[in-house]
Amino acid sequence: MLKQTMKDVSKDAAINLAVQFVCKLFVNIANNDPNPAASALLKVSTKDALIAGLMNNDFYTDDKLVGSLNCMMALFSKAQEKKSTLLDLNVISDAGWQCFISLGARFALKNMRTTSQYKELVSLIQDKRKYDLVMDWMLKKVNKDTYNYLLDTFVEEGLKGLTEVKYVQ
Amino acid sequence: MCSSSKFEQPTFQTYLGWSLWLPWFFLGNYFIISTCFLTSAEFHYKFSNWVVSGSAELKRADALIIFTYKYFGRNGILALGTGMLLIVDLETIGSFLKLVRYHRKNRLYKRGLVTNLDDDYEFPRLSVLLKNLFTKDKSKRKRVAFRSKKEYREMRKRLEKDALYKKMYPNNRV
Repeated sequence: MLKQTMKDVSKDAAINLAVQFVCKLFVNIANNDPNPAASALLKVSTKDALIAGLMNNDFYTDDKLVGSLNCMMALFSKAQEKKSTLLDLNVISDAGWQCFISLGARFALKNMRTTSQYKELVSLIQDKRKYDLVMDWMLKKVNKDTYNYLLDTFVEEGLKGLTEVKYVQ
Repeated sequence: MCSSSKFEQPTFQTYLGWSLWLPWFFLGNYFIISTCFLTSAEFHYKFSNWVVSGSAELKRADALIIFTYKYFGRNGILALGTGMLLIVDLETIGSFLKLVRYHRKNRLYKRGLVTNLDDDYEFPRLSVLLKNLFTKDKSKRKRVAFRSKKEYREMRKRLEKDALYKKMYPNNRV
């Protein structure tokens, strides 16, 4: 049982590490960091990932318990990152913001999961054979002009990104 | 009336969760509301030097804050904070009311006044609440029914007079 738990925790921690890296990478790109991937890799915290993996265990059944533990972790990590004490008001304020935003997103997703639209979209995405169905679904929800405009924007932005990459190289 | 679902029996974790969550609930509310009263210089200093830290979920929240401030500025941050505050507060109030309803119904169940432990007056989901807010036709709104203390008192009085109830539960004090 312990072995199975550790397996689950390490799996969660690995996913957590990957998501940490992606989040930090996006932030670095937005902040015009010269080497976004390397500095994102340096900021990945294995300790936090392991604690989060333990907290996501099935043992914790109460949302508020997990939320408050998450808030504690936010407080400790903010204090560590800012090299300050736990009783610093700025640190508590930042941790409160971080905690409420993450919990709000968690509750919003939990509420969204019960809606028929979300279920429909997830079932379409999980169907690997037919990615076109997602586009059809989108076409049903928006009118044709908006759909074409969205497609054009995607293509345009993609091309712009490609030329920028070429320019950098 | 809302559809009824079974109550989940509160455990040790529920009460531990509440005792740990309540200080955070008040602190979070206080700090998010107090951000509205910061001057623009303080606001800029706070959100332009935002530090990314913690696990993936917390880093995601940080990234959301940074992107919102970068692309939508002060108004975006205030809208994000208000929205999340609304969601978290509603969820907290909803689960608190559920706990209260459970204890009320459990008391009735132990006395033999009700035969099941179903949640008869479920708090509506956030999507339903928002839908209700923007629904013009009030007849289509889902009602959030609530039994007051007066109603309970009346029910107790009715049962005290009921001969069948006295016969069935002679030792029960209503």
